Amino acid sequence: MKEIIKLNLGSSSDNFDEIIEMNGHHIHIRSLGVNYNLDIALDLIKRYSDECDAFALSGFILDIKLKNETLSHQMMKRLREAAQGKPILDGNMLRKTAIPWALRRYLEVDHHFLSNKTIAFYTGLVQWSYLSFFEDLQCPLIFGDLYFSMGIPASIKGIEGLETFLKINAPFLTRLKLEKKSIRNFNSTHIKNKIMQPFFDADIFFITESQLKFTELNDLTGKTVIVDRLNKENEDKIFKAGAEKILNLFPPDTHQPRLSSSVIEAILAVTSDTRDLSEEDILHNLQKTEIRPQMLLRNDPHTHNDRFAFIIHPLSKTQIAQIPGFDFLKKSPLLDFAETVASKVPGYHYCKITGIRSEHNGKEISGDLYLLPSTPKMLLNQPAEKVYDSLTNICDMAYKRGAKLIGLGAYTKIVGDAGVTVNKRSPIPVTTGNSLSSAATLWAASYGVDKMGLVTKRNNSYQGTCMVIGATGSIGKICAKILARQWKKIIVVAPRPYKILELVEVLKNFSPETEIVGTTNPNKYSSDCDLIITSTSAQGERVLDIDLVKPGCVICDVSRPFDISLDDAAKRPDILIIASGEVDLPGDVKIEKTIGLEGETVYACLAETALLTLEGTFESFSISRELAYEKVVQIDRLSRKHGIRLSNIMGHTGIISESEIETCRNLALRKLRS
Amino acid sequence: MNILIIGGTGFIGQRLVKSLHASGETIHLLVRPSSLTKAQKLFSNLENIHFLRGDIDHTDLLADVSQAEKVTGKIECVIHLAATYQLELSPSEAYLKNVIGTQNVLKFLNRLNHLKYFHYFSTYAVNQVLTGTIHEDELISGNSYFYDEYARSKNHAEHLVRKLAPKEIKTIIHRPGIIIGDSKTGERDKNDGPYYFFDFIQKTRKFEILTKKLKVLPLPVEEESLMPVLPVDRLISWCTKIILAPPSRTLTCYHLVPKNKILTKDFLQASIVLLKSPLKIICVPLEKAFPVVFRFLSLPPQLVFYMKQTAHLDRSLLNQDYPDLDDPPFKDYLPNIIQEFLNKKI
Repeated sequence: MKEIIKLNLGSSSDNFDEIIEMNGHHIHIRSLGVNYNLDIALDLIKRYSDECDAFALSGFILDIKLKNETLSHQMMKRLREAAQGKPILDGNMLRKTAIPWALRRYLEVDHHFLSNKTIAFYTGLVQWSYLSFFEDLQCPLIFGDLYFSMGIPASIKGIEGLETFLKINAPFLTRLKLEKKSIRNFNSTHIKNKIMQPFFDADIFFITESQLKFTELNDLTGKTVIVDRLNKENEDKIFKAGAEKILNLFPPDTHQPRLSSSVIEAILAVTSDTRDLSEEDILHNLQKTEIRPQMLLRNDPHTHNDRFAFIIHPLSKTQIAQIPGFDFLKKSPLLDFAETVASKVPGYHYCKITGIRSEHNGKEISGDLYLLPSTPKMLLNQPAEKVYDSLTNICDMAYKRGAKLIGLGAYTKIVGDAGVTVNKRSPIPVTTGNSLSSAATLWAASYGVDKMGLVTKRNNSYQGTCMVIGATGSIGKICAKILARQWKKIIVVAPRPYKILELVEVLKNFSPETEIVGTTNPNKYSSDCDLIITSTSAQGERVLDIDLVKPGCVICDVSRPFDISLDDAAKRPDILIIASGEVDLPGDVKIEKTIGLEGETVYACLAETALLTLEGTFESFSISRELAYEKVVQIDRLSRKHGIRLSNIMGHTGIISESEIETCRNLALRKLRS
Repeated sequence: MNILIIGGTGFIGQRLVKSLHASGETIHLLVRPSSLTKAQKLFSNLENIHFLRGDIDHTDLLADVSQAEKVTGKIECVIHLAATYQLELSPSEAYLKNVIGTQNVLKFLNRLNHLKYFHYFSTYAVNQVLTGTIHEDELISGNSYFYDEYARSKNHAEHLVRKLAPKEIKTIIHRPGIIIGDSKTGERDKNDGPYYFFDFIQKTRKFEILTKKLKVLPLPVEEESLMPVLPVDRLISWCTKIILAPPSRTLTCYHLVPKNKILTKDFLQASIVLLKSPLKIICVPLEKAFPVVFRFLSLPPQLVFYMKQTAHLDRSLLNQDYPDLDDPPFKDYLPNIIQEFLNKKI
């Protein structure tokens, strides 16, 4: 049987003996805590060097490899001499590969986990071997203690800072008497000074299992902690310190005994034929293992008050004057000037939305609205990069206030690449809310058609004709797919015939019962259509001859700027022209300040952000200009699940009232009869 | 009952061996090869006592025993009281003997397939808590502050016993108080605990200004500090009762301390009277000055804890399980202790 002695820096009250079987070998592991006393470590190594095959050191580090040199503490040199040629392993070689590997695995499912986050390390040097991984991801790094765990009170930023510190102090540090120190207390009052503040402000704290044993944690309220391994005791300890989430990189595997990195290295060393363990051996061994990092959430009902954030902005310069504090501008000739000035003002926290409660499970959430005081004109005239910066700043603010998802309202999602860049730079996922906007528009369309009551409905299918103009575009295609299953006949319109052919084929497969016609000329069929959806990038050019449209038709104008001009709309009061659908959030919703809508009604894109938060899906659900049919269907299902409903249908100039619909219907009926 | 005793040649151990032997038990003694002759001499008048060469320093305790299986198959009870005890132990010494030794014993228990009971001798000092009440099931964290390495190592060892002792046997942890000489003969083997103080009083005779003029002795002792002293013969009689009629819980821990609180100043004052010194104790708990004063008085600085501890050691479980343990007041036996101290210098 092979004998491995594991020396822990921590207390000997956690000692254990264990015989494990690994790769066909029986291995006796004795874990001995040295009570933070390296003299004991030295005596133990002397005492056992002829009885055991390898030593594993846990919690203290042997060497620090700088760019051009390696620092070894004098005590470590003595430990090595005392071992009389028996290998001493510290697990660093394994951690160097395994930790970045596990983190990357986790980033595959949570892309934003490390974005723009400051990572704090309790002791910089123990993690030395994989610090560069974090720096490659451009995460700011900060260290609470620099050398071992001896309480050097400084917090240094970045690897370079650490390296400089070490280089300058190397002669002193490597001779420093490693004092018998018990618990390293990050919660004591004397450590809470200005120098340490950036450390405590970090977003994510990294600590290893062995360090946890002798570290008293600081207040971790709302923070995330990454650990290499986690037992129940440590899990309780971290959550007790207030942490929100724990990422356990190597959760226990029922097929493998729970071993620390240094012990795994020691086992590899005593069971392999080669005398010195190499990175190649480590790589070979890791290929045989599987890792599934695990995220643990705080199980505390109070913290289930998840938050979201949403960015709004004034839609016109007159709306600037409606912003509390700017009302003096109302009749001022300075309004034009104010528009320019306001666009230079960075975004700020505008107000809170509270009391959103799921009808499905009663989960309650709240949100913060951030105002970017730029009008659409100002947003579109600025360089996109500038707008990205303003938006990313708001994302940072939102993250610090505890938001887990942020939505881009109105024109902020139109600028540049429609959220892609902002999403990349934001510490939390970003969504444009377009999926629910599309769904809500379709709800509004159906609502309009039903209210007009001119199309019969059989088995949930409208026995009439609908048309989608711009059907090969992102939103158009989704509308076409959804409508194809709801209507007896659908006309799809787009400028390029080959794209139409493709779409018609797709729709035929998608809904074989429906009659599908493709055309480049909407005017040819518009007199037959009961519903027309226009979603083009015609930039205000006329796409449809309004005079030819069938009386009583519902037109849903999704394009911005509108395809149907105000003049055209005025010409045909017998046609119901809808611009979008606004929705109501479930619960006793309170919005502190006005957002330009009546009552507690909100924009559909805001509702999507809230809905995803209710569902606990913190991801970039809708991003870029491309939308997915599946997502619209999914958001439609989620809306029904949590109780988000259409509240109003919006026309070009505001809410369309019931009486307006009634008037429109009467006019249409009269026209149809004549 | 076949009982294996580890540490049977020490001050407490040899008395326990004799007591259990007198009760008719079969005793197996684990002794280091180097002290085998001493042990055989010590128990030469006892029959039916078996010596096993072994060392708790070794991972395999019985490495030196041929046909170890024959013995291990018989043992029903293990009593582990081997420990190194001095206030001024180095961390490594305390660690190797008290922590690793106990860890090795615990591992060895798994080899005994007829084992029913494991008695482990800890100390009341495992909880170096100054105030409040210390309950029998309480054990402070191994990361706490300890005044001496002995207490630290015993604390860690008790943690290991609680965690690693086989769950299918009954484990009994004995936590004796400060053990002093025999209550009848005063017999002792070294001068520690209160004996430090007796020595000190003898030294004060040289200082006439104290004894003739001032007639007071300022001592760095807390007014309320307690001294759980227990004569060794009383400890042995209690433990014998416990070992012969053990509790049925999986884990039991007893504070083996006097039933009634003994104030340190009362005990010391009574000793001074018996030592025929005219001094009267006054307590001066000079917090910061403790170590300095101790050095001046040539007392081990680790004693600080014992002069400061006012915590009450709860023994309600012991009272409940063994209500009729004899426990006469210290005034009854102190004269014998002092007499022997004066008669025999160590």
